[in-house]
Amino acid sequence: MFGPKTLLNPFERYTEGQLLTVGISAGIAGSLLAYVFNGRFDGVVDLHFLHQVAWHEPFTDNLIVLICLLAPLLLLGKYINSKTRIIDITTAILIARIPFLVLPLFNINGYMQRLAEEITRSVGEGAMNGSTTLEFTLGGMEMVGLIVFAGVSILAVVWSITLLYNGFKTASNAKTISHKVLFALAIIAAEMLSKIVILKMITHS
Amino acid sequence: MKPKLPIHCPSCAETLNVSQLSCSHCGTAVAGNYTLPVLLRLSEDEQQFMLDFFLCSGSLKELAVKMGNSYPTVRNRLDDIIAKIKAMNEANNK
Repeated sequence: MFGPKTLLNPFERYTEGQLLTVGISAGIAGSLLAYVFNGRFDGVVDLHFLHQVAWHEPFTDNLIVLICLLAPLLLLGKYINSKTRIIDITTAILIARIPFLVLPLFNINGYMQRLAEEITRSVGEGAMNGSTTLEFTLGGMEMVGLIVFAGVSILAVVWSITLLYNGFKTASNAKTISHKVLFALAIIAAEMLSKIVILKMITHS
Repeated sequence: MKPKLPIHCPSCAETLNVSQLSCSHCGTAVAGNYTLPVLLRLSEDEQQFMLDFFLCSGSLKELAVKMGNSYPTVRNRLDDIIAKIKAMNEANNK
């Protein structure tokens, strides 16, 4: 019963109540994980690791991402089909966030943050020396960790966008190529909007 | 086996018309050229969906529970059938 269809398109089968319960529970669990492992969801498809994160910051990030995605997708959904319901777009966004919510686990003991700092330091030193090649002081295991994180992150992005598109398609009965193009533009608009709002929030705090 | 009512021509895929009706009791046959009613021109799956919708008193929520699908999935299916019937009616009126 729990096959690939459930993983890629649960919206065809499950009721809005079930999807909402899973989406909100996963959102709370993912925000707690991000707090524990110092992650910030600072954009629709972003995750960055910091030295310290306040408990409320990942919750606020996820709420801002939800609102930034909801506004353009609901407008587009209503434009495509006036019967599109806000609850169906909301559940699509909440479920599509799930693949991102487990990524903070990569920062156990500040692992990913240390790697990111090492890479940033190497890039900075290379630029100062006028070097065209980068010299990392990462060990073999660290390189493997970095590659695994990159691979899992790409998979999470693809899975999340697939879930979001399938949820949006079910909510609005979108079918044509122009609908797909407008969906892509709405995601780009949401990413820009969320970046602006979260960056403004970070600089003001 | 219950034979299926063919609605499309197996040769050119155009919609079929009724050219003969007969009485199974006395064998009387009536010949003519009658178009199929709109509902009979839907596929068997679509006819079953419309019948289920009718038997649920037009409640999409109840139909969704009965079919094991979500509400928007069932509503989309109904919208697609409505669009198909509208297109058929427009083609008929031309």
